[in-house]
Amino acid sequence: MNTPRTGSLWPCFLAVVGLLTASLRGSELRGEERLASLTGFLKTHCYECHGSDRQENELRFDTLSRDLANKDQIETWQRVLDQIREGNMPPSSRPRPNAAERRGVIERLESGLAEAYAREFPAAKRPVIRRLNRIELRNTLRDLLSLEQPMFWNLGLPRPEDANGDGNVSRHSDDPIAEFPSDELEHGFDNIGSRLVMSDFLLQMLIEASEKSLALATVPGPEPTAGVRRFAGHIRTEGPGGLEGWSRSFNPDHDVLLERYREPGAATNIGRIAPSAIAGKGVGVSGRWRIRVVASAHHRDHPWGEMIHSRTDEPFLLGLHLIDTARGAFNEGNPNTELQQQWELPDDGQPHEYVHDTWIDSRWVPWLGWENAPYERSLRVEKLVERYRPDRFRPRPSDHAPEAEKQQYQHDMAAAVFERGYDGPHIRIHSLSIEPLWETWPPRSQAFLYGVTGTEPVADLVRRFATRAWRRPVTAEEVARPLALAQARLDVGGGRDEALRMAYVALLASPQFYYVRDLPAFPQYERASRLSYFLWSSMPDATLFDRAARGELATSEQRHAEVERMLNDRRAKSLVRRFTERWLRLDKLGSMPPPGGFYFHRQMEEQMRRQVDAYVGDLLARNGPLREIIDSDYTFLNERTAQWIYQRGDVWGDAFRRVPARPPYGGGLLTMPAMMTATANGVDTSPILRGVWVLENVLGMPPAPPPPNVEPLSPDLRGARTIRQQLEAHRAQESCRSCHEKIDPLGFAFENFDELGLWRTHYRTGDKSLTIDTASVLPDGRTVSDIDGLKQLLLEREEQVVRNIVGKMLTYATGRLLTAGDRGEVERIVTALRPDGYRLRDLIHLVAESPLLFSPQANGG
Amino acid sequence: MPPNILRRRFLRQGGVLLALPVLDSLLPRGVARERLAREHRVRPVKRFVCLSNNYGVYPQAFFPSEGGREFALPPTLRSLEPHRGDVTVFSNLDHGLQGGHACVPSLLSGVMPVVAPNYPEMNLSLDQKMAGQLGAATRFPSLTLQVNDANLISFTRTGVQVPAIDLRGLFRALFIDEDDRHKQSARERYARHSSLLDAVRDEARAVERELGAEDRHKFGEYLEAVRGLEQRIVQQQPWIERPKPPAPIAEPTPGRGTEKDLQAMIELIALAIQTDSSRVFTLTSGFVNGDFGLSGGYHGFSHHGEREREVAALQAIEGYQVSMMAHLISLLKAQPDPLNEGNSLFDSTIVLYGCGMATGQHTTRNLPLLLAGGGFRLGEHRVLPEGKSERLPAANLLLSILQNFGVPADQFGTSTGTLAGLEWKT
Repeated sequence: MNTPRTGSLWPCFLAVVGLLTASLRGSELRGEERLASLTGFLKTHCYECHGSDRQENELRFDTLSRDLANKDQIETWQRVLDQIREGNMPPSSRPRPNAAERRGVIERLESGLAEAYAREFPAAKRPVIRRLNRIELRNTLRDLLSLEQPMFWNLGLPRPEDANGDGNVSRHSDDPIAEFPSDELEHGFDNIGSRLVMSDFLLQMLIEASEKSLALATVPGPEPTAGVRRFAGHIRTEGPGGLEGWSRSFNPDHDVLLERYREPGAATNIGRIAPSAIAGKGVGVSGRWRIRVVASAHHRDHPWGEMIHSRTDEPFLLGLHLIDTARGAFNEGNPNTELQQQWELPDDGQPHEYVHDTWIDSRWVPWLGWENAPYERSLRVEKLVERYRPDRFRPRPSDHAPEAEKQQYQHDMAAAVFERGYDGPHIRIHSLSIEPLWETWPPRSQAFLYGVTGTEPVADLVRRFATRAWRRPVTAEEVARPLALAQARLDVGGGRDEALRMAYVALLASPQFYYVRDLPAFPQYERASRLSYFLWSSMPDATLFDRAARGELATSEQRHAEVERMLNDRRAKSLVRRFTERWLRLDKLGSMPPPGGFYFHRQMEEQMRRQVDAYVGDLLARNGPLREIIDSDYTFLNERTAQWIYQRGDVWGDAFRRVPARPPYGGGLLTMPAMMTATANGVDTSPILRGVWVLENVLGMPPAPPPPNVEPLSPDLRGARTIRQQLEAHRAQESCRSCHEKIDPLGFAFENFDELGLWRTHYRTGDKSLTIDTASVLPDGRTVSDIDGLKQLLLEREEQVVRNIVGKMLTYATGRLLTAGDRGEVERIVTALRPDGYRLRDLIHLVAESPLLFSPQANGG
Repeated sequence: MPPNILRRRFLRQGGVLLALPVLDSLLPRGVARERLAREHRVRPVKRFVCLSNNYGVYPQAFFPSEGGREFALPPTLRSLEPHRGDVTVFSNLDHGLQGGHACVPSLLSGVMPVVAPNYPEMNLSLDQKMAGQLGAATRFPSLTLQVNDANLISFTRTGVQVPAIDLRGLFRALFIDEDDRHKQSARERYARHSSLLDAVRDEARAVERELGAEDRHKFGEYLEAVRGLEQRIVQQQPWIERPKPPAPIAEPTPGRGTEKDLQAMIELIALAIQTDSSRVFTLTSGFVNGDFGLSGGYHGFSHHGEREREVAALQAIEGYQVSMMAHLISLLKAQPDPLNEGNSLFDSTIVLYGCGMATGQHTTRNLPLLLAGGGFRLGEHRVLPEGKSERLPAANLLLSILQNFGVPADQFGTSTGTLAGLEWKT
């Protein structure tokens, strides 16, 4: 404080007294002063419509108290702040304050409200107890019973078997949640306690799912004798047709991969090597296996570039996959295959060994494919011979020739290219071996349920199970009833295993298992569960339980370290998938698929989801800024998405990888095909739907619902008018305009993306073609000319977007919708993120620490 | 026309030899015949069948242009010609909702799932209300069925959508007795679940004591669930012991396209009614690639945009659905009712055709609704008032049906009363 240059100390003294008095009177007064200082601004810009003469929207500011003394006042002033911050008020038809003035007003309101929130809402509204939704249930059963089957690691719902879009989708699956009804949604979230319904149907399903899962976890019997199996020479001894099969006569000691494999479900199995000896039935025993592959890469540079287009700028990528033989292995229509690992092969022609450990179901089998192989639809050996060995060429015999002649022809042509070694690019597989790696026998699931020796006391096993299933320590009295069930079964001569299962099902049907709630008597365990359901959509693991037991979740440093561990665990993929899907309403993806076409044949829906997973997962791993959700200079693509949606030929192979974004598609999350498909109806696009989607889910500023007697638009798909022309009414009619002038411009910016996310410049119907016009004017006079303009607009509103994501993540983590009183917490987190540029991992840490998630007892320590 | 001649004609046409066995042997043994007789004297036993699709109709070919009794049947309804006097078409009835596809599940209640928690019975559908009334009077209190599309219209009192079974599932449910091993394991399962629920109920009470007021209210659902499940076990247990009726036809092979599968399903419904296996049915049918020689998808056709090919496809699909309704009516007319002497099955079976969404354009005003059977006075095109303040809620029709069925209720879903001018024989 500068001392005025006068001889008198009086001003200084007054200043000191002023300071002292102010600090003595405390924070409430400061708030009132702050808001009192707004009167000048309000008089100039607000009283005209919200004062003594008029009260638009029933809001009046001249008599509104500045105290922020109660919840209603806080709510009203919050509305004022929101309107000013969003630029809606003062309206564009009136003189506007300059930027500095606006900023000053916003700052004073923000700080005043922050204090008021802390004062008026010290105790957060607690979430209503919430039942597990079906994904959480499946994950919890998986982790409780140590189940490894691939269906338990599925991030979404059970996959349909038939994917050709004819509408007849059957779900034959062992997945315990296959028959569960959908969980009730609230604003797109499927884990809101007050919304999720419990019924006797669901209880029946829960009991059956528990019984099914216990059956899967029961693996009795002695340790299976399965030794190392090595397949060499020719691993694949049957098929396929084509050059690969024919080459076998000339390569006695290895298999070759020459071409790309088609996607699962395609009618051919070229380009896949799996051991024919076990391809019909699988590896035979479920458990962990070690797979060793010896392979070599040859002729990345080769003389046949005219006929075979292969990548010379990338190493060869060898992919190891697993496939479910129970669904017919390589036969048509089997989507049950998973890429495990991808190896880069050095281009030295030398054999190298590659190793991968993984859990394999007894009916699954490993297979190898060349991920970035050339894809030549018409690669026929005689064309190669004709071009490069013309001395050996003769024309193909006609289709009516005898079979023996045709076989001889194939053999001769293959000989011409193979007998001196194949000059084209190829991978040689020298051997594949599988080696069992059981860590323990009996397997973990069996030991957990029935003990290792099979003679442990039933009461001990039941109590241990209950401690895990109910996610907290249990007393003997609490398990008396389930134990009695087991005892009753033993008393009538039932087996020990069967009796134990009765007790276990009773423990799983109990609300102590099926509901997540505050546990004031066990605050550390409560923290553990809330964290695990937030980050993993599942129960805590052994390490997390251990920390809770030792009270090592007490300080924020301990918790920070634990959250880091949890985010690095594979189970955090649930967070990436489920939060993104809930917040951006990808639950609608798949509800209105396009009629037929590549969407089904290439399983694009699954690819779209994985693309989003890859992008957000990467952002999380790097603690990237949330701004990159709106726009970035990169994207994630695999071959299918690149080829079919982005119309790029530079990405090969099934795995998603980061690539530079290219115009016109650009980067960021918002224009990805998953979002574009979810906001369309499979047949055409609607700027209104997409505009509302941006307002509701990206900006968090939902528009008012439409008036009750407005008929939906009946679109004219004969191609005579564009959607903009059909929506004339929105501009012409006053009653429509007030809302639609905010909605439509945002949606029109997306019109270059069709209902699957492909870029288009014209609406084409039959032979009619109309140009797409994406430019619109917003109420404040600003023009949004296209998608880049929209992204720019959103980037300028970055803080609002962040505020929305924070709110959505708090909703997801707490399992309840936010109320007015939670705004303080939202603002606190936004402010905390601001200095570092609003980063995703930081956000998750802040939410994981938020008092909103925990009961007062847990918050107390 | 004498019933026998009708019966012979449909047997030839239907291509299905329904050798209709003597009635008595079809009724489940062990069911107290006296109780049935008593029931019959008090009020007639009624049945309800709701046929539906998920995409509405092409209105220009569905709604007649004239009202009254002398109207011309539009193309989609032509197959109802033989039953003109027994079917009523309604115009200007709907639930007053907005929301396109999201309104499809509201057909039998008028309540959309998203607002269901605001209603005391949530979005309980008409068929489930009836099934609740019947209890275990039949082996299956209700049958929720589907052919090539999801059945979205059946909801329980707690807002849960009832899972649907397909053609093969229905045949097995009706006629294939589980073998002794299955029965034994069913008995054991019931016994196991009974004692399980005992244990669980006690735990639930312990949890309830620890909860605050708001939580306790929500937790009430769980206690209800336990009670409901216990009740169902008690009701269903006796049915394990009763044998199912013998199958009068061979098991139909599914997967032959909607034309064949829907017809087979309709015929099984008729048999199910005749054998009193159930008295309440909902069926949603759809479309698979290849039906009627068409290629594409139902949803794609429904967004016809007035294009010729799509409009023709819709009319083919809907016309067939209506012709299957006509087929069902024929089958039921040809059958004497075993439980209400002197009537045909048709007189005591209410058949409703409709959809909660009016057209593929996602409109929900003026729902397509056809009513037949059940002793209603029908045979006209009822054009109800169109104006905003005079419109009637479609739930009034549902209430009329509910009362006719025999449930003493004066309100259902969003009804404001029964539908004026719709009478039925009691």
